[in-house]
Amino acid sequence: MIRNTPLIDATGLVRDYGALRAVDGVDLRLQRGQVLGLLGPNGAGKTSTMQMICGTLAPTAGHIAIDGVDLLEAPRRARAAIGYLPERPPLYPEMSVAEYLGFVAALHGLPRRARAPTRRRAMERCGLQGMDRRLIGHLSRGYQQRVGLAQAILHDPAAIVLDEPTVGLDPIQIREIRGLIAELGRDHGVILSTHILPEVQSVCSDVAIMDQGRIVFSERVDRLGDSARPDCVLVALDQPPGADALSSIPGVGTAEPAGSGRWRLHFDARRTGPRALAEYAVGHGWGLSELTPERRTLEQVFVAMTTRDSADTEREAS
Amino acid sequence: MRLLAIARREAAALFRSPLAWVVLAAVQGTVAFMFLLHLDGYLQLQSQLRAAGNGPGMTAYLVPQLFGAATSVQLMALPLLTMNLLAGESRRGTLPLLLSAPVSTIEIVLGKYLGLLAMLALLVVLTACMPLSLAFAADLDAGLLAGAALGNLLFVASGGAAGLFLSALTRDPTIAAIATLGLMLVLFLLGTAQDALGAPWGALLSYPAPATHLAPFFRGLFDTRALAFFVLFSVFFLALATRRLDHERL
Repeated sequence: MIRNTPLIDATGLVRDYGALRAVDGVDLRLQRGQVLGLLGPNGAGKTSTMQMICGTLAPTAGHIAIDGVDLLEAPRRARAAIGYLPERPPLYPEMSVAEYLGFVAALHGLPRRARAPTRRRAMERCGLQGMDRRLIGHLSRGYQQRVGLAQAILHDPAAIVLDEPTVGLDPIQIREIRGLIAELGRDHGVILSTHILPEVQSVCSDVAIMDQGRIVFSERVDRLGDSARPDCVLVALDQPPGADALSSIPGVGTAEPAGSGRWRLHFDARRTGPRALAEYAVGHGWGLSELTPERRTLEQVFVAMTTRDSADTEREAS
Repeated sequence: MRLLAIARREAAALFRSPLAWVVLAAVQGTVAFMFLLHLDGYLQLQSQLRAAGNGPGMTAYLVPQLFGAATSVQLMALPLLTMNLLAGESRRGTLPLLLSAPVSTIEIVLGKYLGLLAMLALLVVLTACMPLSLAFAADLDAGLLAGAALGNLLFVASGGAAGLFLSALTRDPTIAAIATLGLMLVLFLLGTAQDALGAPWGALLSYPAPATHLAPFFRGLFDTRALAFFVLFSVFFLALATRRLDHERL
């Protein structure tokens, strides 16, 4: 029963900044073992949504429960169950790594005796061994990010929220942080926001795309291929009849050359499909030698979801 | 205690910042110069006072003069010590750490305030050290000195509360500092309105000025009305700061 309580359960989140509605009715649910990638163009409302979940920004409307505890009714208990790494790691440059993590442990009310072992474990997990006495202000960007991450996981929270955790890191550091996130996702729940699409495919179990304050797409990453009905095939023809003939096939919208004798056919999935197209090509004796349904990549989904909407608003505005 | 953890960190940050030490040094230098001037003045008056028979003793003469001068110098120093309390946290992006932690807003504000008080107490102790340095050569009225030091502490504590609130309003420490200085100067000027305007307006306008409530302490009196004023003044601004932070947070 308790296992089924979502770690994060946000419903109908709204946040207005003056006349601007930055977040407009967002519902988010995170279960244990999930790593949810939150994607979206700049200004889509990702950071505001994360801030509201972590209780650092008051929502205009909506309801948030962390591990079954209402953030408004029992803020202290709800906050204890969440670890948050903001876009800029919240570090005090004049403190040493050990002092800083000791302070964070005290903020979370850890008993004095438990602080040192807790701190050491978090430092180990984030690859900060031997850095106890280094001043945070003297660390490189990558190590500062690790200290920020250590701060977020220090008190062993059920849910971890990371706002662009790999921004500004070099490729090796990115790999290490991604490895850590994947590891954290096994016994916690993680929400992370990012601009890097391959990052979602490499570390996330789920993806949600935000645009203009709304969640416009939400799917499990491993179902990304089949969820999107293929509406595009790649065909290789021995006797290609030309672009005009191809685009006049019933149901086909456009045909474009895809190089080395192949053609990419975009079709209306309600009127035709790969099988009908194959039969049509064979019937006309075009010498069909290859037909591959093209799966939509995350990038295509992202572009489709976020640009169509902006075209809509432009139409609404005009 | 989470409140004490915040207070300790704040005090440590203040004691580690070069800014705070430069401010302390500048205040100490200026006040020490004034102390020497007043001491010199007393030495010149001493024979006349002795001849008059019932003139004020050294402590009674020197302490109000010294602490009166010290409060006006501290007025300038306070904004520099309070400006980073919350504005600095917003600017450096560390405020989310406190806001997302399981601590109440009151604990954050009081923790910061307590940390600041540690630094302000040092400011007062350093001032009190000047008359204390005469203890080896003269009889000091310890009660009078303690009363004046308490009054001085209450004064800087009330100014610190106002500075903390103004630091919660902005992300820019410079703006917080200038706003605090402006507020303190306006209150200081209102305090002088009593003489210029006369009753009843003078009394009414000068009441909110902390400096006007210092006189009993400087005479060595423990005046609960004045104490109540300083406590209320501080609580008022701390409550405003809490409200302001609460507004941002859930």
